[in-house]
Amino acid sequence: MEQFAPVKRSKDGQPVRYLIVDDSVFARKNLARMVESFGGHLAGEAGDGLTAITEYDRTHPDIVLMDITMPQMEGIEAAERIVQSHPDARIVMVSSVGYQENIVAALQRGARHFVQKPVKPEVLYEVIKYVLGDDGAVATAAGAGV
Amino acid sequence: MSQSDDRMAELRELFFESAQELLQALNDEALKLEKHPGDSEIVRTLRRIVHTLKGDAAACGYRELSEVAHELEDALALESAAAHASLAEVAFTAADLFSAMLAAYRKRAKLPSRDPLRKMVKKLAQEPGAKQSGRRKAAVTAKTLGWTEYEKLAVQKAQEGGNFVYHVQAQIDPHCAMPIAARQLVQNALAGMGEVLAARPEAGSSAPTKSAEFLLATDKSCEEVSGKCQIPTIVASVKAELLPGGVATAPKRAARKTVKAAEAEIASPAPEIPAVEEPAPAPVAEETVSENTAQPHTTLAENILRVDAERIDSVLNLVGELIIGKSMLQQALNEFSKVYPKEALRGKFADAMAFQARVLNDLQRSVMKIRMVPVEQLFRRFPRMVRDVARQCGKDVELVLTGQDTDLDKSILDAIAEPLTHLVRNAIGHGLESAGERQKAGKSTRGTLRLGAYHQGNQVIVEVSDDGRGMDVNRIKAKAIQLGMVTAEDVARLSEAEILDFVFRPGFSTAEEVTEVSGRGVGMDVVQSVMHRLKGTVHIDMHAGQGTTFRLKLPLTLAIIKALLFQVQQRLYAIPLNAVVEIARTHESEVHQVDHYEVLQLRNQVLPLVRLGRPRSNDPERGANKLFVLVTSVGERKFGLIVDGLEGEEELVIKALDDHAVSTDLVSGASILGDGRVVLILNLSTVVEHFARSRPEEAGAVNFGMLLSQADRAQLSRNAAGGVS
Repeated sequence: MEQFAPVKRSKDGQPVRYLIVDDSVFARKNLARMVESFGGHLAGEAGDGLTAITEYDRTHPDIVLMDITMPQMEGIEAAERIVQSHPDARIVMVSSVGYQENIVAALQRGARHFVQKPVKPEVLYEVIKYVLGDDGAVATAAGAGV
Repeated sequence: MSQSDDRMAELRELFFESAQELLQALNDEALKLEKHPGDSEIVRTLRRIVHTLKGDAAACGYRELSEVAHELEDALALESAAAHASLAEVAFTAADLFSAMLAAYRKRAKLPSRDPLRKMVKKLAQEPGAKQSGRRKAAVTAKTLGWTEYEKLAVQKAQEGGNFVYHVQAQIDPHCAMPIAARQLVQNALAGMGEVLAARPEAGSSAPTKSAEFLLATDKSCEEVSGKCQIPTIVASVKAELLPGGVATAPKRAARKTVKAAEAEIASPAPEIPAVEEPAPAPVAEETVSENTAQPHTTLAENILRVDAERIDSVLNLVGELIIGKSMLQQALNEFSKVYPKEALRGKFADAMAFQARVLNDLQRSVMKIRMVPVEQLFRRFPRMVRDVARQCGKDVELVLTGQDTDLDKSILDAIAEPLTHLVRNAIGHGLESAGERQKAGKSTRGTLRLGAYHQGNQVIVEVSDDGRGMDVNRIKAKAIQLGMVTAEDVARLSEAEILDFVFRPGFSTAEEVTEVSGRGVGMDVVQSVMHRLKGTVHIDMHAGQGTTFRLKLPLTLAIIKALLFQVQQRLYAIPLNAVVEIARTHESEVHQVDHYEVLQLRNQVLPLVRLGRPRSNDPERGANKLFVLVTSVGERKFGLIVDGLEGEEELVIKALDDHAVSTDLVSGASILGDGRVVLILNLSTVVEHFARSRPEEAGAVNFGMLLSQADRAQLSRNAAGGVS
């Protein structure tokens, strides 16, 4: 896999903490593997929207990667609810082309960005850097940067 | 790089596992759909399953699978598809194809043809009334649109309020497959800086235009605005122009009419969502409803740890060693008590050991529980199979499952999958009659097949029963005689249960013609041999004309058994305690001979005897010799084992024996006792089978010495040859 220069939190230089929400264990593993290759840290996982909300409250991650179609509660509703109680939440929707309307809806409800499935690491990397904005810093120390 | 290869391999492994779950769910939903055709809820669930599979496959690089799943997913989105009668059929075909493709990926073999499914999917899509036009047209090229009077007014107001108003033009990245979402994102970015006064295409429009224009009122500089819109992977280029002074210079002023025309033009390629509506919220609400029918695997997956079965086995093995250690301590304490009967410390030791024993018991039970899985895991594959087989045979069959939550050791569950499949196929193929036949017999035309599981003591019973015609005892008799398994005169004396047992002999099949479904002449003996291996039994319960029940009795676990220990020729043996019906003490004089077999009259029953050790002695006082007879039940038959002495009950941790270590199948395993002695565990069903098959030719030559070494036996039979009455 490609090497990415680690992205850290600019306020304390700690790894960026992620909450990954997807009903497919496989997809979660896959995403976790990617964010770890960006120097991130997996703060929590959830397989449905309801769990996502409680996990958010528990872990206060820097970034949420949120699937759209999930049992119990859809990603959109979960995103909306999280943003309602945490306006600074950075939620990135992860879904396939077929659910574009849902992504639009999620963006209207406060999601910060979206990536298309299948997720390409280099795309996710850029998206994460963008979503973190000033709160993220690319560590220059680590070898080959992108 | 090899590390990431490893990870990929691990991911793929995970993918195959989760894909299996998805396929199971796909089959389940398809079955439901067949029962409730046109249920849009089920169709949505189907779509979500296919969607997840598509995503996972794509992430693993299995492009072909992802593609056909994608086609199916698209087709499932069509309104007409939901109501389509053959949709369930398509789903079944898809499940089969996906499964075949997965197998091919796994073996790196050639992929099966996707065309049959593609054709079916196409048919779904082409059905009249299919509204979605499939592919959307290519992106509309950038075009500056006019602003409405209202918007112009807003611009004017904003400028009067001291804001800059920018005309922002953004080109969406050509690689971005979701231009609508991309435009929304740009708008979000702009909204973060000020007020978006207007947008083209309008917010929420479903036109797949890859360019967007906005009017933004903000106090930020031009660079800031365009910088904020440079969203990686989404925006290819962005241009922000400051609108000078009044709105009069806004680009391409146009009348309201022109705008409408332009909108209509853009909206037309995707007519399923009228541009005037707010398209997003509606589907959301629908989808949320369907989530109630969550797939079981997704809810299950949350708190579950995947652990290699071997690791659990090694823990269980250690627990086994601990149990041996416990009996060693017990042994030591007993000896200690004998030497110092008055020592007060004994009580303390006994207390500590009782406590330890209790904890050990709990530990053992918890570890065993880890290995336990509900039979649901096995049962759930049957609905689909029953449907297919019933269809092949042209029969109408209803499958009733009970006791799915009964827990069983995983290895046992895996082992009975094949026998159970045979039994189910047989039940549909042979057991259940055709609808016409059933009607004649006064039964409902639909046959019922029951698959159930429940606990009974230390065992688990799995039953396959049908309400069909039952088995033809006479035909089985005839066939058994024809195959030389029994003579015509012997057969007359056999009980029905014994006759039915012939079907488990290798090579036995009464099916007149060999079909794809059943009756290949192999199968039933597989059932028997698997049950032997598992130390279980199989029993047939049959009522002519009313149905047949195959009852599989299985031990809860393979690792630890409660056993009865006994001695034969100073050697220690054990049999599972649950096979022992009772222990009888009798005298040699009570043993009679019928034909060439020894029997014992036990109350009002005649019990065939198996002498495990030396033959009946020629001692004149033999009549006074006391005998221990272990009355055991194997299947439905009872046998008496004559043993030399009893040792007691014990929990044995079974250690598997190498095939090289034992040359006989009479012994199924071994164990170590607390005092270090080794005990062999007898495989009762093979012992009895050996006995039943041996046919002593000369009168009076009884069965004995099954457990003796060749040399011992030769010696003993020479001695015995003298004067057996």
